[in-house]
Amino acid sequence: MLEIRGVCVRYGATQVLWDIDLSVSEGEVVAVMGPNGSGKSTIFKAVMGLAPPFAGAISFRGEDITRLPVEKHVARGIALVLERRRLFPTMTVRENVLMGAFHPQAAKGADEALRWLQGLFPVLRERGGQIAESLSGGEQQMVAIARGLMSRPRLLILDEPFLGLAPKMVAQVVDLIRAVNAEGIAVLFNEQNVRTSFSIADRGYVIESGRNVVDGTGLGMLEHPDIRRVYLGEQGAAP
Amino acid sequence: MSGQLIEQIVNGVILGAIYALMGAGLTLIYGTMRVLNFAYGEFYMLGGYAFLLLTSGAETPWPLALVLAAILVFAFAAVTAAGVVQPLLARPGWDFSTIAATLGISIAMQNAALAIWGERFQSVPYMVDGTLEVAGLYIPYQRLLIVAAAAVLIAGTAAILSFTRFGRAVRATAQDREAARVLGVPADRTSILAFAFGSALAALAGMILAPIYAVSPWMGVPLALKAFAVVVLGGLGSFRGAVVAGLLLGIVEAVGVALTSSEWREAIAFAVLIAVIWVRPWGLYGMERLVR
Repeated sequence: MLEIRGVCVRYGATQVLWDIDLSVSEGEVVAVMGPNGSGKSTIFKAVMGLAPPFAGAISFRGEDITRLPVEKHVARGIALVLERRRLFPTMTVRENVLMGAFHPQAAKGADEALRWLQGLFPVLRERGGQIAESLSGGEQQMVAIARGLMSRPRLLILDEPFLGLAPKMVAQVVDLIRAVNAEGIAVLFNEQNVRTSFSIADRGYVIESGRNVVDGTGLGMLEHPDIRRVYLGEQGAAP
Repeated sequence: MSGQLIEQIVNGVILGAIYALMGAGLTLIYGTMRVLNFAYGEFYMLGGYAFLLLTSGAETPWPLALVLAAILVFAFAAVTAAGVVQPLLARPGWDFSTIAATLGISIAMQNAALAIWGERFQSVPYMVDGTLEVAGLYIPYQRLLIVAAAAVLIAGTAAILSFTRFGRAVRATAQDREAARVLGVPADRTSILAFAFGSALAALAGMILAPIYAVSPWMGVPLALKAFAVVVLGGLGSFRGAVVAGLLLGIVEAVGVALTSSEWREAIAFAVLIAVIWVRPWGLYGMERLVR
């Protein structure tokens, strides 16, 4: 469904991604792992058009979207939940979520989508009239994910969905990702913690310094010497 | 003395309504585009001339002239925003280059007005004649019309921001441009339309004030200065702040002038501005966290 081939991105004069390859199939959950500053978020920004690549290609459901403007992605069926939730601070929870159905295509099904999401996210019913910035970090993350889902995407991309969340909230977001995936929506997310990632992901990629290091399925990856070196801090595990 | 004070408060409300309208338009532009529009006073001036030419020149009835002139200025401002301001925003150093560009537009518009319409101060007839007499106060209907028109325009803008698709796009773009684009909001087009909308509000202020102040190429300069003061006082980008600060500034000025003399008008206005900024650098309704 999503195919990233040989993507290179730079910010100004600094190159941050080198020849990135990554794919997501229909209905799959894929994790991107790697240390802080390794370029995980930039991959997502490249997909969404926020950081257009200078080399390589990105396609979605057979269509080349490498140069597609940011605001056209929603209509193609891609939703991105930005790092640190990025809710509209002075809008209410309900207004925030409805912004997710801004696109004319999404606006048509907004009522139905809202009913569906209110079942999935109790916070939307309990705190609908509250100003977004008065919510806790975990609640804000829920609202941000709900906002992303309002457009009924086929692929939901979550940038650092667990960042700064208490362990209890992490577990809730994990459950939520499972529930969303159960509806047939593919999920692509990044997370530093390998164990959290593989508690939900079908497959994973490890990125280090803007390059693919290793990819594979499930917890078997945990045994890979590169992962043990990059991640689990076992210095002696690799040559 | 107290009768005089009441009269000054009434004058202050009239003045404040115009400041509020001017501030609302400017803060709308700043909020969505993050651009300090130094040509703002010239859109006010353009409104005055468009209205003058339509009424005195083409003998259009004034209500129709208001609408037509506002549409003309809206279109002109949209072209200016799309052609001059927006292209700069994508480049490095946009925060300074847009100031230089809007200053340039301001000077070009003043000189074009001077070349086309001359330096003569031209007057526009009152839209409504007569004077209201209530409790010993005499208020010309024209001045009441100014307050009513400003109130309708401000309330209308607030309703557009709250309840329309365009309004939601403006608020989302103003609060988080990147997040808005990700959700499919065309942020660039929204900014251009907000720039044009704010400029049209300034133009309408210029039109309803034209019968009281004369129309000239420089008529926008003092009002734009006040609009900037109002926007800073209310909190950059805050619509409610601009409205409250505009009314406040108008009343403080009028009462201050009544207690001292008219030479102190600007000194009083800007002393209040400095005092508020001293205590609350983010303004009355500004976002505290932006300053911290």
